Amino acid sequence: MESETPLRAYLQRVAQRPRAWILAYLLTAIPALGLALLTALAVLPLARYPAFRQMIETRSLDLLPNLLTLDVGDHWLTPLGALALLLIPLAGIVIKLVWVWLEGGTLADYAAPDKLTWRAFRAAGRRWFGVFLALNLSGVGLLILVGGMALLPALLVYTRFPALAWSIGGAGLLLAGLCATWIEMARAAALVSGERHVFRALQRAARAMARHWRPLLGLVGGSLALLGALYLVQRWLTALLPLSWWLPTLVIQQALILARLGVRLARQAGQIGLLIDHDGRGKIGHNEV
Amino acid sequence: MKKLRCVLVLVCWLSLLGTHTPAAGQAPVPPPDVASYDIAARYDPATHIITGQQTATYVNRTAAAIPTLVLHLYLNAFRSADTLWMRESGTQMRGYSYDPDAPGWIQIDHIALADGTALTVKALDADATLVEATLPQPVAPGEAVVVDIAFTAQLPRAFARTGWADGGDFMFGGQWFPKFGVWEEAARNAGAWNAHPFHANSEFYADFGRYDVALTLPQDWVVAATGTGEATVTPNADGTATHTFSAAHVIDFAWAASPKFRELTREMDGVAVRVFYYPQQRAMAQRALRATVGALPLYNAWYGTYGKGLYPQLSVVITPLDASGAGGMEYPTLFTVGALAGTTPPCVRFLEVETVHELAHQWFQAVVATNEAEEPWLDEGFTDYSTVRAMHALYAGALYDCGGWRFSYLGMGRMNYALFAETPMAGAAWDFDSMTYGIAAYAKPLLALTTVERTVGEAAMLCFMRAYFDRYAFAHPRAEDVRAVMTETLGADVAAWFFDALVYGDGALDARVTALNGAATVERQGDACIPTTVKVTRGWRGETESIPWPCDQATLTLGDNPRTVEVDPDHAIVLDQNLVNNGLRRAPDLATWLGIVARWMRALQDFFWGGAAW
Repeated sequence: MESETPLRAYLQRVAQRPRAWILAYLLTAIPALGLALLTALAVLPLARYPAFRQMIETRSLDLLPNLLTLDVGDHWLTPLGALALLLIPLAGIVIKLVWVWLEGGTLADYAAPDKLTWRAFRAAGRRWFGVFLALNLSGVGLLILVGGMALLPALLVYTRFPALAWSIGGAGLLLAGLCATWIEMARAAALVSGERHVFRALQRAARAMARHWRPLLGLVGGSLALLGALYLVQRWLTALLPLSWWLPTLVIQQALILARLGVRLARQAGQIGLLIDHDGRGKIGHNEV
Repeated sequence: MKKLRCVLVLVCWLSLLGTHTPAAGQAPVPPPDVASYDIAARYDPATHIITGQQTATYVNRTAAAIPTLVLHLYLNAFRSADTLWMRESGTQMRGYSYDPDAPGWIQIDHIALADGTALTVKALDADATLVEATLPQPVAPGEAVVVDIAFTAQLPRAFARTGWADGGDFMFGGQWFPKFGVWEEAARNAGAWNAHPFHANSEFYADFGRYDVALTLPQDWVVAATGTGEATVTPNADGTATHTFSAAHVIDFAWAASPKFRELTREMDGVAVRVFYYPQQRAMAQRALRATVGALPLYNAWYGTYGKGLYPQLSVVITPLDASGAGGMEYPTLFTVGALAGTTPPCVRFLEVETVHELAHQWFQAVVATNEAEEPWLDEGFTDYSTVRAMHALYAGALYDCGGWRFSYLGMGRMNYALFAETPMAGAAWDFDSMTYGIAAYAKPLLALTTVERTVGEAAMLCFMRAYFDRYAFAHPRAEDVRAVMTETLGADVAAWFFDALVYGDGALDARVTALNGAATVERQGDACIPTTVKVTRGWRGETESIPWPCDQATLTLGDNPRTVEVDPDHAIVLDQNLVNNGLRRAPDLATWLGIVARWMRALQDFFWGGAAW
């Protein structure tokens, strides 16, 4: 067995092997830009009204009823804008599927001792697509179950016992976080161990989580704290920047989105690291992806 | 405009010199009592029945002799689904429905003069919500009549302002005893009772007086009640306790009781604020307390001291959830807040709005006691205007403040008003259906008064409000009295457009930019007009010019290739039905549009990531 690679080294692979990072960013940025431009065309005529700018800048909905009853001719919600609005959920589904494919290559890339070739990256995506999709769907089901189990009783008791409802809601949120981590770990466990059976991958993930709960907690907790901080910075800067400063807004927001994506990928790389080195398994090679 | 505002403030403060504001340290002069009650009542939580004995005194302070006594028996409106109140309301109020199995009624078992002379009462309306007793001899000016009344009152299940709830563990006693109408001088030496059958939209109207009330309930019940003096509790041998309350210079007496009540207290500006709540409503109670102690000093500073310094305490009752129909009601030194308003997350402030609104009624109803039945806009309008001011001062105006987006209470008023903007504010409660009542009594006066404030300036407006409160504290002003104060403090022009177009007229207005090419055209629609200015921006450097737009011009044409035209750029005239069409640019503001694209793009990226973004 080779000497253990420190966890930090896995985290560094996110920056050292930026392909996954860039692809993941472009995967959402390009369709988002296109659809944002298309849908925003529908509100272009409203940009003639100073009150519209004031409403967006002050984030006040007071003038919304006036805006909705405004007669701005045929431009309001152009067919193109309506089409773009319809395209948003469709694009969301396609992006999710591509994302699942991308994760196979991404995790394999972080797991391999050397950077994967394009061919190996694509092959890993293909190989793990079905397993990861099944895991993701299981995760969605699990989250609905857990969310429902927490939300329903919370709503039922909210009016009479609000404190109890908030406690149930908080517990539900924690449980949902745990489930999401489990699914994430199951993807990593499947890839590291070559396990293509969904339930066995979940079993392995559960064992690994129990065994390495301390570093995992640090990894997940640290990434959540960082994501929270980045979210707050984003909110603060968005509120600070005038609406008309579109270029600085665009640059800052995209930089923050890249940073958020990097944090998430680092967490996944760290999970790979935990599973490879601390479970006593050898690093996987190019042929194993 | 600035010059005008300075002149108005000066005129206003000069006009105040003649009023009777007590100097600092000087005790306020209490108003003379007119209608006073000494009541002993017993409440049975099992049957929800109150049995009472009251000695009621009415002092004739007019120049006209009083030949009869007229008494309100409000609870009879809930006797069946066929009463006038029920027919007008469709047997429901604010979304809460009448339970025919738990009706309400009140009957006078015996009525006699103090000397023992029995009186007979006859109903003045089909439902007996108003009864009359002929006196053996009229009450001469300056004299008083004293009657002893034995009565039985059945409280309904709470759905409209009063009743029981929570399986009998909660009761709210509002409009629960036989109560005098208001004897007014209709003409020289001729008087008449100002009292109407109980209508669905209608609230109340009463004279000031003293209340001494002894309430007997089971010993473990906690009671919150109108009061200005010390309250005492005396245990009785039969497992009950008698709570005594006294209240001076008040127009009504209401009380709430429950064995489950908890209490939060805080002193603010010399007033003991007490919040009564159910154990599970502690968070709501804290929110209500914060809003109350936040708004109390504001109203004190803006209008004058709470109760003119004669009310040392204030009780806030949070109703249980199934009694939310009794929430949002104002009584002297006590108001209720419906628990439903507190079930929202803290970023949705219905509870705070309700609290500061009901608190403002302590000024505009409890002390300036206008006729809520005949002129509901006078108390609800001034109160809602105060609500907007308090919400602005305490919560940056936001009724809704979640996820970075806001919607103000003023915005909600504008949304309601736009539905029937032409509704005049003047009118009795029964002149309106529930929708137009909300506009005439609440939304339109709120917007009209806010427009006045933004037109004349805050200092001048507060001077008017203070003069009005000061002059008519412990009195019953009518709309024309308000007009007189407004004319005196803010000028005849302001009073003219306020009263002629908005109070009595069906005036509405919408200023808009109708064309903007080489020249711009702005025009007014609607009968009302408030002078304003038009801001014109020209040239690539954006030179601006402010042009006055008087009321004698319905349209205005502005040449020289304007780039942007904005009517009333500061949105002072919140009565304008559509503020968005007040301004127009020649070309779309591309920088703003791209700013939206940038923000929208980021939101879409978050959406695409969904749960994977964490």
